[in-house]
Amino acid sequence: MLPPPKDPSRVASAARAVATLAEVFGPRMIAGQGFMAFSRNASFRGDPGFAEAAARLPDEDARFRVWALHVLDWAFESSAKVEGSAVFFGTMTADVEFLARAHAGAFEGRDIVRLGENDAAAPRRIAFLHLAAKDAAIELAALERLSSGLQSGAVVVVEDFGASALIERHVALLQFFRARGMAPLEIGTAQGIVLWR
Amino acid sequence: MALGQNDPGLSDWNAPQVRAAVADLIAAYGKGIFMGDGFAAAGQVVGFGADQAFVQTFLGAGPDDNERAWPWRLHTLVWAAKTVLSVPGDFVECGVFRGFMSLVVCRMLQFDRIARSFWLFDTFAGLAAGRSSEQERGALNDMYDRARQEGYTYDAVKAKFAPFPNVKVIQGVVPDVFATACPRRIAYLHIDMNAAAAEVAALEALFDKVSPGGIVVLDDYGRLDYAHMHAAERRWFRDRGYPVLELPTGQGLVVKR
Repeated sequence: MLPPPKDPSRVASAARAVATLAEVFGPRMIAGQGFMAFSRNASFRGDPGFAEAAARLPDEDARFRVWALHVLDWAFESSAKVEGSAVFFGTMTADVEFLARAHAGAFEGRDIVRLGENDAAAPRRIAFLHLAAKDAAIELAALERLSSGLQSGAVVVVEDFGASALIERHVALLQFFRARGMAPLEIGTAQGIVLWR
Repeated sequence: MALGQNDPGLSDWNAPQVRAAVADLIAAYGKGIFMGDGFAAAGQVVGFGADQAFVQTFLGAGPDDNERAWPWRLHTLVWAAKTVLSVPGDFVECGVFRGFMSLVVCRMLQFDRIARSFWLFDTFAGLAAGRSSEQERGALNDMYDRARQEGYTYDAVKAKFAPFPNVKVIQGVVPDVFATACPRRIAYLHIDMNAAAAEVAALEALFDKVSPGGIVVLDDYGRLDYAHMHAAERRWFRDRGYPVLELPTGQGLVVKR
């Protein structure tokens, strides 16, 4: 759902406008964190593994993350043909569990590495990296440590890359990738996607 | 920027209460909201909106009323095009229309300085009978006929890309036209023919030519009014072990492995 507008006097009218759109479009309006999409297929919601994992999301906040989880799910699956580990850095346990449920056997078949800011480990080869610590200094240090292991074709998903509340982090991460000749694709879920070269 | 107004797939946008709701959201968020192409986002950076080179190129390419709402789609295409510059192969677009989207890509990349070709395929006569359904033709071919007065012709598109000698504008029905003109290797493949049979036929003919690391973008993959095409393409990729990323823009994205 959209965050409230900065002007408190506009909060009520914005909420009414969203409610009107929801009424007119019904199930054709899909609300996520920070966005609304209209008249989309969003067929990922019907994938058996994905639907089962989504049904077990713990609360309404988590359900607003369904499209973001599709992005994560796609990146995880799309990187399966690249040699290397799937690395989760700062990822919420609920997201990792979601992928484990959505992919069942395939998840267990991959080398999964969960890292936090105090972990010094760096897998030799990385095919998938989820960056979700939401702290520029911590994530830049992690990227410096992990980037030598990122394989060509690896998929990096940066959580909240497009969140304006984290604009300084956005700029810092953008500089990191640009310095290496890459740029994240900013998508409407506020995530960023990098195809590592 | 109007939220999907004039988009033939989103006629609900013309309802008075929807127009009023959109106006209220714009008043509430000001520049803090992106609205366009059946999508709204707030509290987001939308970096391409502050990228003057992108904005000027987008507007300078002469978008029509529909295309004016597509900057996020173009952000995806420009990103894909830049990302595959390290991947061997040509660029291909099937379904060019007036050339707006590929013109933005060419200008952003200064494509005339790049040692590869950009192949632009279109009938320049709307949806072909043998490669589309009656329903698809009924929905769109009147619009294509009208658009001939507004630059949807081979000659007009050819002239538009004259500054890019490495862009090949080719008139013909996909995939039949590939018998006479077809790239050997592809790094960037954009499919936008608004007809399920034609788009699947293009995938059949071209996907094997896409180099590992190459990117395929399906323009209308996520649009509900193209649900039949979405299902066909999704199944096609699933049968080959490829997941399709459905972007909130309505585009589908696949990375070739």
